[in-house]
Amino acid sequence: MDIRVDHLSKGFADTAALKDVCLSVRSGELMALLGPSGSGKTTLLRVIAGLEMPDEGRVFFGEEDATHVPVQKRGVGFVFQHYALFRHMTVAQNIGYGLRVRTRSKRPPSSDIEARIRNLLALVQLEDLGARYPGQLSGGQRQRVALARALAVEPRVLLLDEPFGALDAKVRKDLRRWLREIHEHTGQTTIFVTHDQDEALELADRVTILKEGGVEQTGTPEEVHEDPATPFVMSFIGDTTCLPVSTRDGALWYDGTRLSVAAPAGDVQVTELYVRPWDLAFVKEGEPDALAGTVAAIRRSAGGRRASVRLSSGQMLEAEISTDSLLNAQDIVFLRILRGKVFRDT
Amino acid sequence: MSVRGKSQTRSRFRRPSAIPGFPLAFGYTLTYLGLIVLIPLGALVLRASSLGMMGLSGVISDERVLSALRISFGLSFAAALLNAIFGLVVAWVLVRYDFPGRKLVHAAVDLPFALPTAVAGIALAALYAPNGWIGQPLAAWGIKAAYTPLGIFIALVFVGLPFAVRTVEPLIVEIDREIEEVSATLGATRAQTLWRVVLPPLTPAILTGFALAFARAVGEYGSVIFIAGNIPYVSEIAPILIVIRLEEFNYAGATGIAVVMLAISFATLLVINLIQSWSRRRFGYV
Repeated sequence: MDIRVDHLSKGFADTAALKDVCLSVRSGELMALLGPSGSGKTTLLRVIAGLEMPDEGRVFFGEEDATHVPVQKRGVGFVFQHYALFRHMTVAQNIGYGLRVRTRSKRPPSSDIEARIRNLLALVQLEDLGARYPGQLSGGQRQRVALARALAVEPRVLLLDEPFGALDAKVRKDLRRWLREIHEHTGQTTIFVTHDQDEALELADRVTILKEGGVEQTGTPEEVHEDPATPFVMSFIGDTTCLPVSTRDGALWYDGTRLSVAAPAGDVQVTELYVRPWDLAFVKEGEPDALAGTVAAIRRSAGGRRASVRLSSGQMLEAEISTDSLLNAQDIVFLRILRGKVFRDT
Repeated sequence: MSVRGKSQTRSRFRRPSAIPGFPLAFGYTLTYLGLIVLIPLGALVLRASSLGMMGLSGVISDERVLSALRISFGLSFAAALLNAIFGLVVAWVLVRYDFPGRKLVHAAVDLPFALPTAVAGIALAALYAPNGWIGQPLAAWGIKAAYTPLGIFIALVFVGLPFAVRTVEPLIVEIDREIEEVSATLGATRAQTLWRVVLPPLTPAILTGFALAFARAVGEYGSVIFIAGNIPYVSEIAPILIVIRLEEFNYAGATGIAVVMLAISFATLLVINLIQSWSRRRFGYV
């Protein structure tokens, strides 16, 4: 089911939560809504679900204008960060709930419901836990029950609000992969909200980045990572250092050094250059485009090693270094910027 | 006894805790319960045992006593039932809706706690008397409240309300709104969400409120006697009959009624507790 959101605005008492948001999700797509807290991503998801009413704008499910369809009739599956399981019902009763509350004419026979519960328990790999109560499950298991319960009603769109936010790092990773598999298996149109850019890039077909209630960019993980549309997207997706630069003689200059990064064509003023930690190279002293600095600290992270370099101007710059590098704190280094991103000043 | 042996015997009763004072607190609990609750009740039973089985059955078979017990327990049950239902509604409104005067209503709910029961009784009697503010219109409808079981019922509802409200209120506060929203996204109507999702976890608390309101109503005296009129066989409750017996210096008769009340109350509370623990297992699994 295609989901389209058209010029949506929504304000709460004193702040605007959404400002003229347009979004279109293709049928079968896994879309991530990514943004910091307060960016309106959860509000957008709740408006699509029908849990909030927009002030302006419309929500389309396929060709149908669903803006005023009540949440009960909208046919969405919603998964909350904190699971929201019915704790007085067993896992199986939780999953069957959406089918059992249907009016008699639409309710499948009891044997079909039982069969469907069994299939879903198998899908979420909880075959043996149907008789347990939610309180007896781990966080990851609870979230899988919540997902099975949402899928049971065969929703037109599956909406996940920070589905892995309450789980620890290892379980998060497992569930992420597993959700991707489920999505490939079911082909269910899915929108999920997250503030974790890794999660969004790894999981989604396309990512929409929100900031202060507006859409900054929509694109594939590749597009938003490699070609961010705004400085905000640049710094939100992946680590970035921003250097103050100036444009002169068709080149970019930083602190009296002519950089080897090409300046944008035409008569454009640029004042900021965004650099990723892995777009830097350590070079020998004396290279004309090298920036001198001192290593302030070396940090180890799960993915690799990073050096924080204090340039002679005092500016800090993050650079990725190889795991076998012999670099030490207080070493004097020379850095060449291989690649950087500039945005036209507005 | 070695230190080790001592700590082992202890660990059967308690788990290691960051809070000190287990022996002190436990000893205090036993002493307190003994002095305040068990010894007086024991004395009551002892006193009644001087009646002997024959004497006791004589007290029970007295038609006036039987009718007083029926009135006391029957009306208490009915009042507690009404309180359980409307207490839930009141608690729900107080928690979920913000309206002008909410704080005032909040405080008013506790008034039956704080008011001397005799004051409440006199006020109720004055209101519901045939010439009172409420009694007059009721009388025009042909309903007589004061000096009838209906009047007793009203007084018992009045004193029991705070129990019903205050026991369910904290649980309503705790209800996760997302539970209701999930239910709605799954296609449940509002009524279904209420019956299947919201109310079941509240059941144990509703039962507790019912039990407390019931217990309070059974023992209520001050607020009832003025509005009841205390007509034997019609509007005479068991506690007033005990007082009447005492005034006749019929101590054995008084304790006899008291023991019967004690037994029925204990049995009722036990049953309610059993239902509660069953429903806790059934509905309140945490």
